[in-house]
Amino acid sequence: MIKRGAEADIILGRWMGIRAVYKRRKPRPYMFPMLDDQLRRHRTVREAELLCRAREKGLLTPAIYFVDVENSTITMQYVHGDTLKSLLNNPEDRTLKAMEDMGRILGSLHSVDIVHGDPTTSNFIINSEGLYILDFGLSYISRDIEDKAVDIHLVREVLYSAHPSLYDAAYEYFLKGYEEIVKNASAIIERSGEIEKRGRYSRREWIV
Amino acid sequence: MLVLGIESTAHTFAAAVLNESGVILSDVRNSYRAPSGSGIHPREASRHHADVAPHVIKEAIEKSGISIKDIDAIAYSAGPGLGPCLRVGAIVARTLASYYSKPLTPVNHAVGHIELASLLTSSKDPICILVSGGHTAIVAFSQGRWRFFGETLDITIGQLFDQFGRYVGLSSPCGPVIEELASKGTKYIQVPYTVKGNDMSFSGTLTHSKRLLKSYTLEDVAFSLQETAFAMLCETAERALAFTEKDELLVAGGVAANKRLAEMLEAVCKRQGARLYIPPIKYSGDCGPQIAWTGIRQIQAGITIRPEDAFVRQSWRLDQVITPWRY
Ligand SMILES: Nc1ncnc2c1ncn2[C@@H]1O[C@H](COP(=O)(O)OP(=O)(O)O)[C@@H](O)[C@H]1O
Ligand SMILES: [Mg+2]
Repeated sequence: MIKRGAEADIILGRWMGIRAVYKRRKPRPYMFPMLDDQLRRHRTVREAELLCRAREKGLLTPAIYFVDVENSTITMQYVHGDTLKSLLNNPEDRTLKAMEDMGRILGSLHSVDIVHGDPTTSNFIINSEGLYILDFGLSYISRDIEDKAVDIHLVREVLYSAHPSLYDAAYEYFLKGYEEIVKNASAIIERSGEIEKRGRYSRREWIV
Repeated sequence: MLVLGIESTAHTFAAAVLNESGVILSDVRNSYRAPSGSGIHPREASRHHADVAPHVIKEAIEKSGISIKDIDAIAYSAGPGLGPCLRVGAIVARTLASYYSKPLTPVNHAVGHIELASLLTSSKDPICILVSGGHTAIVAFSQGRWRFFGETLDITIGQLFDQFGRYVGLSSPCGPVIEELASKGTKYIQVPYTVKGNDMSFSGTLTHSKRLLKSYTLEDVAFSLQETAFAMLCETAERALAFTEKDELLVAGGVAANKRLAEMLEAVCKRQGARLYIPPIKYSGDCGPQIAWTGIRQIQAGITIRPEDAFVRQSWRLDQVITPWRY
């Protein structure tokens, strides 16, 4: 399997005799090299760190086998199954339940002040064990409501744009799961609405 | 079918006549220039638009070689944009439509940018980067409308360039001068790089860059600012391409004229196995053909309004517009 992710190449291989995924962030020739090096290095370390932390908290995430910072490559457990993205594109009975799980997972991260940073539907994989969360490259630690609210906004953005026909139900189930876990969920959700109003074309001073 | 399109969203008052094959029969523009060091003042700009409107319209009709009676419909930009400026275009359009009894159709300015860029590049189903004064967004068409796959969480790249430019005494729009200055910079200085999912944020980049001017040359700061802002845009575009698995990347909006951006996006496309489409510079900024061409498609789809309903909407979001002419 070779998959092209948002920023990395995903290669299926072996590690100590077991099936493994190599996630490699290749240089981006369009960026100034210093900026690119720094981003790839930083994200590789961050991803490994926060994947581990999420796993310690009991979430389903791929186990990390090896981190090669020089080549910005992480070797990790291969997770079989379908992405949440494909499940939303071809809905089944388990689709909305998976959205509720997505809400719970993001809620669990937020409860321990982990902001995922890229909670898009291709970063979740479902199999018989449950829903896995991947791709912590843009994750960071923050207690700030604003940062968590951006995560919620990103969920809404991807549901509305990439999965419009299921948007209402999918978001409802997501919220159900999220609110079940997060104590101050309503404040975060309210803030995410403000964020949307802000960034969008509602800015009167847009050129001044 | 012949449609007269009227654009008056921000700096530019413009009019154009196009036919249904997309041939541009005339294209007349007149832009307000803000005094240096200051931004566009909506009321000043609207006064400019009101002054030049009759001449621009008259010239657009004359140059197209037809008489206004031969026009089949009138289209105007109804938003998003600056209220006072938009109102000038709406009033002119409404007056002409009722005086000559022509159908009238309101066009979303962002849709106008994208539709003309599509026409001129023959792209089919692209991820579109919309980079203009009022927008920094990554959009794609799905289920009846253009939807956001990424956008700025605060200011746009146009605003970033304008606000930085005005801080150093340039007059807006500052994009071209920033590009020029950046091309002379040689040293990359770190400025905040903020990508969240497919969204980006530029206000930290702006604040920090202003501060850097104390210790570095203007050229180097402009270079670092432009490199970083475009890198964010390229990364999020790449993310959107990877996610949607589309193989076309279209650039619309005034910033499409920036050569460094084009070069970077070319590299993005190479990595993602996509093709890059950039319309001719002349048509990337605000202009009449955007409105006239979208107007034609709207008229063909039966979207018209009565002159008394000629509204303007300062914050008319792209993803609220139903575009029935796209599958
Ligand atoms: N550990 C894994 N097991 C199985 N598939 C994976 C694994 N990691 C990534 N993938 C697949 O590769 C895709 C991209 O990986 P991801 O970590 O999200 O990279 P990127 O940061 O480039 O988006 C995912 O959407 C998923 O389909
Ligand atoms: Mg990913």
